Amino acid sequence: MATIIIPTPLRKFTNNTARISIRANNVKGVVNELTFNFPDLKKHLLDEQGNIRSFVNVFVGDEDIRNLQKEQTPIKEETVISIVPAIAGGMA
Amino acid sequence: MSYEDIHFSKEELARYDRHIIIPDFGFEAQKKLKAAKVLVIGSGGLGSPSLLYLAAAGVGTIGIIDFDVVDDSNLQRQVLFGVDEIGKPKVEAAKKRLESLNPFITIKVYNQQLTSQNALDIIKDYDVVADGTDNFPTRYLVNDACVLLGKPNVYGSIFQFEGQVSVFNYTNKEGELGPNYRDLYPTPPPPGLVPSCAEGGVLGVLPGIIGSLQALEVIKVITGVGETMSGRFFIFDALNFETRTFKIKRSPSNPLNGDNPTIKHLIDYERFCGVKAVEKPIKEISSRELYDLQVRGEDIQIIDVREPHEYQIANMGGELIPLATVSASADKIDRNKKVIVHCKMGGRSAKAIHELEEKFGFTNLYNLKGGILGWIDEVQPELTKY
Amino acid sequence: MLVIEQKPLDEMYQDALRSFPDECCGFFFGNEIGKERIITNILTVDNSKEGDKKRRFEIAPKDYLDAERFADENELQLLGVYHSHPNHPAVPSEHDRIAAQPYFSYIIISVKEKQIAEIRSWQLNESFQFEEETIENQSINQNK
Repeated sequence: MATIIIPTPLRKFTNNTARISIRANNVKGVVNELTFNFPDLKKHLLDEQGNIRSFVNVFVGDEDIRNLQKEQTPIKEETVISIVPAIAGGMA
Repeated sequence: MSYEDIHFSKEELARYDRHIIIPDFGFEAQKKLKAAKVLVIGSGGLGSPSLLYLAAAGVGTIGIIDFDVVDDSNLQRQVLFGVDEIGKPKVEAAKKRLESLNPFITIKVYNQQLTSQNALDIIKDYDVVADGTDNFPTRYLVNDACVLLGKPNVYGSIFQFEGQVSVFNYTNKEGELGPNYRDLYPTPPPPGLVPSCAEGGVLGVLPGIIGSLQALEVIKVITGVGETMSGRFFIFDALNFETRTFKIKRSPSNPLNGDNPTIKHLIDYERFCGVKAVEKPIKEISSRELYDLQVRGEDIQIIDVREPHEYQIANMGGELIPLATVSASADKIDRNKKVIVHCKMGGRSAKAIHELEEKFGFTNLYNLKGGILGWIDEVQPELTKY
Repeated sequence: MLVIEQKPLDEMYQDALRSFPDECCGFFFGNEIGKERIITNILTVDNSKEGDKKRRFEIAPKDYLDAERFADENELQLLGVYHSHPNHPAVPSEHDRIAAQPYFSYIIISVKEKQIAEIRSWQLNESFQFEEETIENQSINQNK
């Protein structure tokens, strides 16, 4: 079972649970299982095509999945996945 | 009217004299303007100046689509209208004003809302679109329709003190297609969510500036004079009088016309007048507490909102009402006793409870914290976790 | 509604002034009681934006995770993000809005020519639009 860490802004959609155990083979499987069980998370994590939104970073351990196999990145037991919202903005 | 059939009366030649005598503009450009058909979407803050200048310039056919009515508060910036037009449909008032400015052109009005049902039909008759609306659903609708129909879209928008201008979906003289709105912002806020009605207001003169720039770009697209803003995004900061232009490019992941297009039809991003709903917290119950209720013999109902195959793997004997069918099965849910709603982890049951409370006014529903997985951990470890 | 204790308020102002003319950024923490958010601590972070730090800011994912850890270790709630707008009103831009998260408060500090001009706070509503939140004790704005 991999553990997925939910960032503070999204915890209200997971009944305030910060760490959730999910069983899946890769990141995509984890995200699908997560949004299936917590449907209100979907619009904050995924775009209309069902891909992870550009303002959401997913880390497997310490690595950004964009540097690994993106949503196909495999998951093992004891893997810790962190959802990290991209914090950005500015005047322009 | 095609370009070859364009004739000008003596009066028109006199009227457009100041265009015709510009060496880089001239008679040929004026002919192109008269042959052109431009659709202006929205006749408000941005539409007012752009319509005035397009009519003055002699664009032969101008279409205006707007479903709004003139209000006194519009007159702070919508200079197309006057106090005599208050209460009248904007498109009618606009038509009257523009015809009195230039009787040599044709104004077509559409007193309706642009939707996915009519957009392709209306836009197909025009050569260029000027998007003067200021909300996400219409912006994306116009953008998508123009890309699907192959029409250039002159974009203008205001946000707080900032104005933006660009030209989307334009094919240049070399035959290269420029970027469109979805190359910048591939997806809007999800369907069902739109700007709330309480907006921050706008400095009246700002849409005047941006709308005029839109008219300029429309004229350049039609006549081929100068360099359009295709591939560039212009930002104007009204407070500091600072401008910035940055380059934009087509993106391979554009869902509309990138390498793997997924959007093939127009989407109506739902509209509603968003009054902020105060989210009431739902009532929760832990597995231990539920167990205690059962041991005490209290009369309760347990509802399971998972899918049938999940029920097969492990269940607590609850009544199976899958999440998607919850509203349709509301009458199966008791109102006179504690009803505990559960799913696998607690997320779907929370959603079901929100739905039942909002739509049917239930007040006796409890969400099982941690779902059946939590129940298995704490009370019935002999059940299969999945 | 936000209540900002004096110490974190001073620290945010200092960060904004020190970073001028670039945008500063950081996180703030505290407690939530009903609709009131009381800010007791802040954490300044580097503006990781490559390029124009005068008009944009970015927070590195590692810094974000440190903020979540800080909240956990100190038993505080991570309440939101603050950043500054040099020579620009404390009003969120389209960029601010598109990248904004639900639940967080977004404090924006407007710095005009090395002086704090105003501080305002915003929260994303369910329609993904910013709504302003009141800040108690924002005496800096009372002179307007």
